[in-house]
Amino acid sequence: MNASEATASPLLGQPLLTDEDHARSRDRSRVHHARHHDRRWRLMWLLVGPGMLAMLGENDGPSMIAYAADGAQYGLGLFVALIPLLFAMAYAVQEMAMRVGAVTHRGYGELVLQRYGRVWGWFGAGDLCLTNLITLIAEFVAIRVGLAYFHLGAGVAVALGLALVLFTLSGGRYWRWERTVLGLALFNGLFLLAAILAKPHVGPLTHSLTVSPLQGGSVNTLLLLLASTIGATVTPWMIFFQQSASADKGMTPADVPHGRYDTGLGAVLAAVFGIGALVAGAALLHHGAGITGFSGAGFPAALSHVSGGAVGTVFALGLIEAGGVAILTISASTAYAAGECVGVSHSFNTSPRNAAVFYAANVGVALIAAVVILIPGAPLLSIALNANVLATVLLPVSLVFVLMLANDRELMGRWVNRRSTNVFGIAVAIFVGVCGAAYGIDSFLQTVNLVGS
Amino acid sequence: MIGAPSEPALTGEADDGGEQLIAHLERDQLVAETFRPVAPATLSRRVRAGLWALRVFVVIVSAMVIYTFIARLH
Repeated sequence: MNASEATASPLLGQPLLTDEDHARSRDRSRVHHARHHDRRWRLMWLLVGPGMLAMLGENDGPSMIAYAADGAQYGLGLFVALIPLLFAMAYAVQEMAMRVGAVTHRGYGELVLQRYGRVWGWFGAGDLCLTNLITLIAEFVAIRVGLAYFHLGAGVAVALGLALVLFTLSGGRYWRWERTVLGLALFNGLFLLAAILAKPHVGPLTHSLTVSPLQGGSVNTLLLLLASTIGATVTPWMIFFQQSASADKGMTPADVPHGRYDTGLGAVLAAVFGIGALVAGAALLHHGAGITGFSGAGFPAALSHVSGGAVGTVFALGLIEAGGVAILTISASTAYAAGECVGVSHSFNTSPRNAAVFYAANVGVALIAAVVILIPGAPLLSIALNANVLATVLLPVSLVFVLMLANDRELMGRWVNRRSTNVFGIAVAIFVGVCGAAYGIDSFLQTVNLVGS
Repeated sequence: MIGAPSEPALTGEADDGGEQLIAHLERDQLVAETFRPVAPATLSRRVRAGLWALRVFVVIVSAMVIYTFIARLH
């Protein structure tokens, strides 16, 4: 908090009030008014945001290309069942993050740092910065792939991504940032439109449900698919983001039920749109030889060739949207983590002058990622393909700490996890840890030629 | 819930004018309160050992993935 922005509270004994307090209280007054007058839809409208942004933000460029690649290579098969299952896992994790944020009014980074020590706090933030930077590079690549369909180059992708970050930060209010990004995120539905326009034939689609990814593939390929698909649905940045955004939005324990609707709605929409990308990609089944989603105009061009120009155009626009929204949410999660770990202001409700670290981290991480994609010869394809895998490998740390926080009775009071939530949460952490470790160890052993591929 | 009552910090009607709007924030939501650090958790020896095992596990697997990534670039 900057002392120069604080004003004395009208009541003696109350803490000083900042501009951030005033901005948040204006948002809260609308929530109180809607609740007091029993305006349910208005209340829902006011309280949705962090959950939908976390879920739709994770339907990012690399994830949608991964889903489409799964469809093109293996058909619907395993994935049409796996995607909803993984989003159910994501719901369980994100609900905990939302609940901890609403009850404690603090972000994930600062709680881990203060409760479990500086080493773990910085370890988590370091994890996050590494995976976020790699993922952001992949987002710019995805935007570039989408723009390449319209014959636009990497420079335009960089300018568009950075302009979005600067534009959304210009409002000086959490509410405005959230609503702008939420408006953009709804265009994730373009992937569903692409699936509908692709007019998939029922016969081949039904047949593809029976195709196993193991047919003709190695165990390592299956592990890679599992690890990258998990990394496409649950990631460390989502946990940091939703807890911090719930606190920044001003959510309280009374808002937890609406937070659950918000997270659940986000999970359902993300799963439906993800399956849309899978079905659109499945149109390329049996045409898919040599398709590389991240090279040139990649998937949009291939879809345009097989399913028509409209499908290619919609898919390309979807990739630009997915990359753009993910740049905004992932940069925000980095900024929250930086502000929380350094111990300075970390809110969209604070001006850049009073939250320099927060705004600098937000713009800085996007800027670094943008610069990387302009480097000639940078291994962008490898970076994009490995972004989700690395996120999966590093995820168990975030999962364990969100479970510990959600079970911390001193912090959470009666809002601690139920037994069933703990059972499911622990199962998710073990599943993610085993998948990430199995892929990491198997790939390493193959690379050093200790096992055959 | 971090040692503070969850009732609003102040009471009053919503007012676009400013100060009374603060009525709609809980006390522990105020910036001044959120900057007050929470007490460190008391962890048992088993939990501490588990967290160290997790740290070693993640560092080793991450190193393997990063090594594989770099090796496959060539």
